[in-house]
Amino acid sequence: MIEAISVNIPESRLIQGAQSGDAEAFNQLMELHMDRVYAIAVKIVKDSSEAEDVTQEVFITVYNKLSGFRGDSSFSTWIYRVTVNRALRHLKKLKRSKPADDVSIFDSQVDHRPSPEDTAVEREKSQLLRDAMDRLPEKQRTVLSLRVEHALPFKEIASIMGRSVGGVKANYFHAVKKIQSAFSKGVS
Amino acid sequence: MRRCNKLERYYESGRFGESLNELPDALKKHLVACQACREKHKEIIEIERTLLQLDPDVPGSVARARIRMGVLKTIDTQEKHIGFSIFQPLLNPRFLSAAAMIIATLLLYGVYQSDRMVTPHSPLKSPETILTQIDQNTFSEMEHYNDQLINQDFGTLADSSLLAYTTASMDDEITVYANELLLDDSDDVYSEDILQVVTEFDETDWDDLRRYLS
Repeated sequence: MIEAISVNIPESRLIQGAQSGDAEAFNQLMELHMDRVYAIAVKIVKDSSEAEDVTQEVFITVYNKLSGFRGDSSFSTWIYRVTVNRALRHLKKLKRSKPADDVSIFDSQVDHRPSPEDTAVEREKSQLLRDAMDRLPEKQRTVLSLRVEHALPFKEIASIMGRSVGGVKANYFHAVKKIQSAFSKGVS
Repeated sequence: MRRCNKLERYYESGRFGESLNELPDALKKHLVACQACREKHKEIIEIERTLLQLDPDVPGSVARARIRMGVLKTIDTQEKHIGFSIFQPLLNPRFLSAAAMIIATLLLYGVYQSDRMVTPHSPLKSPETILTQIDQNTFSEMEHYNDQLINQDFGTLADSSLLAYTTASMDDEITVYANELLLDDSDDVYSEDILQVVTEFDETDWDDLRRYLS
């Protein structure tokens, strides 16, 4: 799990600083959120290099719109919403430019690095789960990733994705069900 | 073993808590009596537990540096070309589109035609008029929300945005309002605002929309 940010300066001060043109404050904000922005992006676009591009686009958007941010929603909800929107748009562009046959090749490009303490069995299990996740439809994949990898509550996920909580939960269940089905086939 | 979908139907309704293991008492009792649901529950919970242990993919140090450099370089180039000013948001194409739509609406209802104040509940445009004003780009963006559109499930998100279009009578009110929109929905605000407008559609418009999206 990516832990949200531990720095000496509170995030609200960094936001204020960045809003008033403090480049260092913006840099720190970028550092604080980069891992999670990238992680969400890579889950959606399923390619590490494309996820880097999306991450860059997100921070450029944030920089350009930060002066108008007044904290009606939390900063993290806002930035993750930008991320999901950007990544989905990016994915759409990629789908347009890539023939459908290339998608499976594309899928295998994500570098899923297991943590060192993983045993071989656990590693294999994790890989099976990740492969199954990568094959989910984008909405289900995004909801599942935000819930299980980023531990975000459903209410926040709904806000990020601009959908109802019930709809997001239904997506979550269908995603888990498909993974369970894929996983049992993979294991057997 | 008898087939039973009770647990699955409950999950599909999206009424569970933060985990698929949070069930109401009635369903827990059902699980005791129903082997099919009990086994399904066990499998689902087990996979959810495993999923919750996954760590997200994070960028390596080289990738982080690349991202940081890319962002800073773009910002630097941007500022050299445009320069940061309080008027910068006004150059945003979405803002300009929204402003054009607001002004068109205001002109349409003749709010500038006389000295009288605009009534707070000016009549809304007909759905047919709105539909014809939605351009190709907006439709493309709306495809993200295809499900909600088809199910007309977006109604809960409707707010007073259209009302604001028809009652704002001063340029600065329009500017403030448009800025709020830009903030609330980040970079997709324009399309979502349009979606809110779309919630006003009647059945004929939905048919047109379904035909378009299909």
